[in-house]
Amino acid sequence: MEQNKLLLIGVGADIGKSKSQVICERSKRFNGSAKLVPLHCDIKTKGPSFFSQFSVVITALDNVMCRITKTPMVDTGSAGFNGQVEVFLPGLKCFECTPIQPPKTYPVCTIRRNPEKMVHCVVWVKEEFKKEFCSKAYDSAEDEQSGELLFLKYFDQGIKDLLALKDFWKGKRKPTPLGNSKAFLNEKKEKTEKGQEKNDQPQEMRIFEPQEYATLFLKSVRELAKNRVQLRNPLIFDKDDPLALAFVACAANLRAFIFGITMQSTFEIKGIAGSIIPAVASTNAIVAGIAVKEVTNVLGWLKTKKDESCKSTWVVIPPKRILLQPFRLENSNQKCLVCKLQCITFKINQ
Amino acid sequence: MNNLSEKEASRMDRQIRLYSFEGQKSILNSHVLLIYVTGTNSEVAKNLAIGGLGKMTLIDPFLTSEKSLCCNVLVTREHIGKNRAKASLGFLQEMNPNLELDTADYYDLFNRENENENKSKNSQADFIKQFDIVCICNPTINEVNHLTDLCHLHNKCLMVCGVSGENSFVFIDNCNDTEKTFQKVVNTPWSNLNIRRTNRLFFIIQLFYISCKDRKNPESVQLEENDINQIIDELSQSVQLKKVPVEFSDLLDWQQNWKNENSSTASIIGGIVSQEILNTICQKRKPIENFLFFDNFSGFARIEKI
Repeated sequence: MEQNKLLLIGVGADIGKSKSQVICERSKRFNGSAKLVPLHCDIKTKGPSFFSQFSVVITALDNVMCRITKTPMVDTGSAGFNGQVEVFLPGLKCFECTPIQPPKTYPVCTIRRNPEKMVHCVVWVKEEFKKEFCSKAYDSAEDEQSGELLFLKYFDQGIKDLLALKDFWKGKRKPTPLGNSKAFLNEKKEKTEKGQEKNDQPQEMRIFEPQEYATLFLKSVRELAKNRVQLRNPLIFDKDDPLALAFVACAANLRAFIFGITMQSTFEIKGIAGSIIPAVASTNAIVAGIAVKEVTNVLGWLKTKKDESCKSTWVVIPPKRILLQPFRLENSNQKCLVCKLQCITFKINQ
Repeated sequence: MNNLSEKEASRMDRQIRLYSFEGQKSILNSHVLLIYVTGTNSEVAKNLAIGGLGKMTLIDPFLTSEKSLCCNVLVTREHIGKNRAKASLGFLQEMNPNLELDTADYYDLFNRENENENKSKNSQADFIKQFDIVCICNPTINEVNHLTDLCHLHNKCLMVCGVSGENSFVFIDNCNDTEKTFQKVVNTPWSNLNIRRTNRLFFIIQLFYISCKDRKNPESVQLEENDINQIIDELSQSVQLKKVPVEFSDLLDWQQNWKNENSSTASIIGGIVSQEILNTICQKRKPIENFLFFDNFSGFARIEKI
């Protein structure tokens, strides 16, 4: 999949090899005399002595060790058509000086009682997946009925329990319980145009009838329960696991159907469940070009210690008039808990 | 119309989340022409290949040189002395085995000195018909005018980019307005501009193309300060100029660095142009209207409608 975003990952033959190794091998074509050393490991295992050997480090995530060894860092990132290159020089602003926005959370009430968007349904299903398949091991006797039981729990009795809170639903659109799975599957629905349109799209991009999602839901629960028994270990949600994804997509769509939210394709739900960030080669190329320029600026700074040319840059979608917006490097946040010496007072209640 | 296989759709998953399945299908069914495989255009080609473009044609009468190696991402030392377009095919094909690649002769599209040997205008116009987008790097004004005529005949989007050291520009003519061709825009009198608000690079480009006229090698034209001042006088008629927006030395720098690229600028401008090409094919958003000016020293890339 990375073939779409990364230039140097080759086709076919290179799949399965370590990224660092492939990049080093392929980069030799540009400069045979450059010394390139691939290291296939977790960066967190490397200590200060490792980082001290470098003049500058280019990263795609913050690196604490660079701050400890006072190694200049050029940090890059991209998401869709946006991107940024940030230069961190020792003594100036560090990565933690500006607090990062915490990940988006939703009110518990919205998730558990009154979802309004598909993302609320997906968050709910993921929580249920964890409860059902990740926190305990089942024995085989329970898995035969597990599909039917879960269907009732999620889409019938579970909804009826919510509806019992009559005051809550005043003025709100009420969800419709589906009944048991057999009854629901027997409901004859007229074929809508949705199923017939765009037949050239791959399966995962199409949107099906709720009954089809119900059938697939039952099937995926049976398979997941079987896997759990065989492995004797709780499962982990992995968006690339087709079975887990099928469970999440079906359950989320059925929940959406119950609450009158538009159903979406497995492709779209995968994006939500896996927090997938879209990417294109062109934006990455722009960011990479800027990063290379900043590395040369940093090397210049190392010689002269004048930081006039080093800068951070944002890459912004048009139609804004400025596509690449550079920023001067900022001073540290005096209250930064990471790069400034701070004293924190604790009170212990005895 | 070719359809996207499940394997290809899976490979392009992250891009499809931006351009949609239909958009990706349009990319697969598009044909782009790149003229002159400079460092910048090599980056455009590379990004389009990875992006799942269906067909690409390269035109380049020049040979790969030592200079190509510093920023051309498609060729290596072993290609020196070989035609630059042909040398680029191998790496592009490796990156995307499904990409249909072709090269064409420069004179299939442009005119020779000896008019008798030219292909007819009709045959040149027919040649252009097969493409969806045409992109040329560091052209002469004659080349741009010729392409403009042909592209407007068949409503083909024309993208022009020019690199001179740290400075560069991108110009897009989407055939929406016959008054906004490159030739007309570059000859805009200063009475029609807000001189203080217009990017300095525009004036340099203006003077460059007006002073070098129809010369094949604008980088080797002998520029005289008097001639440039005369051009400035003509452009600034009926305008009260407090200060001339561009110095003769700026123009000389631009000329001396014409076609000098570095890998950073090539990657940035190549990324911007390839993104505009894909955006135009998918109709994701309107292309840049109409100029982009980039200065890799300050780091600003500004869009201006002139």
